[in-house]
Amino acid sequence: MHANVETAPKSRTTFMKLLIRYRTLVILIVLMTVFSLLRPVFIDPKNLLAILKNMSYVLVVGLGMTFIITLGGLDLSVGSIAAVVGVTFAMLVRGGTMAPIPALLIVLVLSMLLGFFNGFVSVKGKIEPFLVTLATMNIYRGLALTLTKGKPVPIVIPHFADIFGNGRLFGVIPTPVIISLVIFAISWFVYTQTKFGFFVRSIGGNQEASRVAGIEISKVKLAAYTMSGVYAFISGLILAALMNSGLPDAGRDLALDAISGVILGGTALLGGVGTMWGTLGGCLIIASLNNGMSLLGAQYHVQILVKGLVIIFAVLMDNAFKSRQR
Amino acid sequence: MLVYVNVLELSTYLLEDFVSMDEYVLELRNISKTFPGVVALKNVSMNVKKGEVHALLGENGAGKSTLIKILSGYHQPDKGGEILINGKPVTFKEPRDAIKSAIVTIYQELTLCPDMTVAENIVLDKQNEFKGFLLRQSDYQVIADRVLSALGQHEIDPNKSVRSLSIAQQQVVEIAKAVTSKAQIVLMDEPTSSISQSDTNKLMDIIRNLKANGVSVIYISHRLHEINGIADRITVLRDGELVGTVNNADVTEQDLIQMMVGRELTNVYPKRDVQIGDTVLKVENLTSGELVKDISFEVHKGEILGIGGLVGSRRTEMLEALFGLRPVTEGKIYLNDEEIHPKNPRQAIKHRIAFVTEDRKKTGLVACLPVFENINMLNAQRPSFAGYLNWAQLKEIAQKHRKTLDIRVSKIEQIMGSLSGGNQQKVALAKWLDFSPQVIIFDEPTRGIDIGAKTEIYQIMGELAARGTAILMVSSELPELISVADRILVMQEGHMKGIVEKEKMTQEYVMSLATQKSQNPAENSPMKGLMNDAR
Repeated sequence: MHANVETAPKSRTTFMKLLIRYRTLVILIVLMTVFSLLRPVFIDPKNLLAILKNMSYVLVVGLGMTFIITLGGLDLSVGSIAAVVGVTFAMLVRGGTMAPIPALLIVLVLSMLLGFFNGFVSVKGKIEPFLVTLATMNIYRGLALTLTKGKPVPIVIPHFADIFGNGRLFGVIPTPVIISLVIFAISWFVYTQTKFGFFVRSIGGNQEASRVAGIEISKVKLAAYTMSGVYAFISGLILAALMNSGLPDAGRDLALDAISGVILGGTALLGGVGTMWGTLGGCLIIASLNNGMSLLGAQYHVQILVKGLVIIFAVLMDNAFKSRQR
Repeated sequence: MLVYVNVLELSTYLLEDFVSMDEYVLELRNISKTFPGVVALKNVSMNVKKGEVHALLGENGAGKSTLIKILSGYHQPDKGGEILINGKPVTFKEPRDAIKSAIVTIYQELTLCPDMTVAENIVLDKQNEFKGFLLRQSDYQVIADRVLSALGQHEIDPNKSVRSLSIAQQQVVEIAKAVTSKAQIVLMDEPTSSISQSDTNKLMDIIRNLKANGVSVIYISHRLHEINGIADRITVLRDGELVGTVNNADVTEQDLIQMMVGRELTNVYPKRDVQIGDTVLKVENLTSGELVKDISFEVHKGEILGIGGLVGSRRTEMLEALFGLRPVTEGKIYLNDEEIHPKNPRQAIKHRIAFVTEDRKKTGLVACLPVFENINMLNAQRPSFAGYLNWAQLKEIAQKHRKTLDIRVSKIEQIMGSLSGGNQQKVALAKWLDFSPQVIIFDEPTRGIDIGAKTEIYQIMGELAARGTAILMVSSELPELISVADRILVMQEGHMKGIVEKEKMTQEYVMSLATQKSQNPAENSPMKGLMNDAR
């Protein structure tokens, strides 16, 4: 047994290290290669753009979730917030009651409040974020359903669907893709280049150390959950624009898909470690899986089954590598 | 000016002092701190002058760390006490309040973020000094480079993650973090507990430098000679109470020891005389992955084998491998000349090996359950009809242990968490005794318990040894190790550095084995012969 560890050639260990470091990318490339071989249409640029478009609203929420999970937290309520965003916006602008811009601002503030509420209850009430957001996931969904009596509210203002949903920049790139990539760039910057990102990583890595370093842990957490609300707002707008209506049922799978993407991207559920690039890769894996399996004719129930298996596989691989690192 | 009073005649006295009050950068008045079940500090008053190195001295459990944690805002003192900074009363609700008062702390437990880089850790508590929202990686680099080279640590790469460093290097980073802060008072809780002698010397230079710049340093250490070399004044605590404050120049080490331990020095470690018998446990080249390497030793009937080493020397990990909590990747374990392969604790227990763990709260006890259920944690697993538990009988067993081990509880139904550390430790031990273990592993058996209870634990260990039990005892307290153990195995970073026989046991020698550079142990060791013998 020891022979393997001790006499392994240097090059092999550096290879393993690279594999560990870029495991998300490796999975993604393998997956895309397999799908391309089975169904060449998979790598058609049109199809790739479709993958990016279908990924956009999950990626946006996943980027916010990366902050939350790095903090050692969890936000299950983002899908419900996205639904609230869609229906309240649709209701505000219905029949020309309100101009689109003020309506957007009101909905933005509302989504921030919903996110803030998650953080506030969790921080001040000293309750696990998992429990808090499990509860608010239902509360916010209930809110969306109650407001609309369970029925979709059509959005009839011009340009909305073009800007957030089905429009294309230069007639080629779907606008949701642009939006999600801009949000990605901003998130990467905040995560790696600002004090806020630094504090998020340090609190997740060692909360006590951060406390004795004088960092205001409550403020950072409240800010992160409020931000998660903003990410859900953007995601909710994309969802509403794609459907051209506010659906109280929108985003049912959103939180879990985003969490899966974040985990596949190598962000540790215990907090402290993560990257935005990883989250991008993780969300791409999930979107490619969905798309590829559809091309292969697999139905939804088979798709989620495979998705679950891939997540377990990725986490197992993560653990195996981690124990090898020590 | 300052009157030295003979400490042997007075148990508590105050230094007569003619310095005007406003020269004190820090004053503590009647500080007390009570934790559930334990009074950690009782009415402690002390003061610190500007630019002074003030040592805090006392045995484990004397309350030094609690005092430091109150000063750093980590704990809040009981009502009635007062803390004054530059003559003004302050209340610290949070560590950040202390930082605002320019009090910086090196805690005993490491307070680093393992997945962040060295430089990031060093600047973590200084973000208020940088304006704006953005990080300034190049500034951090400069700060880290400067302090690390001042500390003579050219091997530590500021861009490496802290996780990849050795424990000693992590301790250096902790020091670097503290000494780069803008501070008027620096609190150091055993900063040298896991670093080498040369690193310690560099730290002493830095302390002198701080002092020259008017910074006050409160310094905790077990090592008297270290304090001797650096301290201006020394405050001694014992069992949470103030013994006194003295000028370093006026006292000898012997005086300080007397102050620390009081009159009971000779009674702390009761003598015992046990016939040492046949080998019970024999370990050959025990290896567990990358953590524990090549450990060999024997323990005999009635023998107490001490296991020494610094924090991070992986003594606990080695014991865990013995007990089936970690895989044994190489090497052999023999019990009474028969090879055994404990793959999990259950199998180890079947071989009648007991493990009294270091962290009572985490692995020793179930704090929310009553005492008698904790005592019967193993007994309840004995075969019984349809899983039926005869609680009347089990309570009787608990009563028996309560009597023989003198576990002080009002009733055995009392909830575990409300007991004092010493009584908790006795319960943690009691649960193993009905299996008449052949080998008992004690991991830091006296951590966090008061002196009286410590003596009782040593007595119990002595009795177990007299009954023919082989005992392994990890301890970080050298006096304890030297007084209680028959031989001491010294570890460093998972490797074995030697076994010290009774006649060679001195604190200095054990320490030198535990701290010497790992690259080439034989070269800079004055004890070449012994190292070879031990291997």
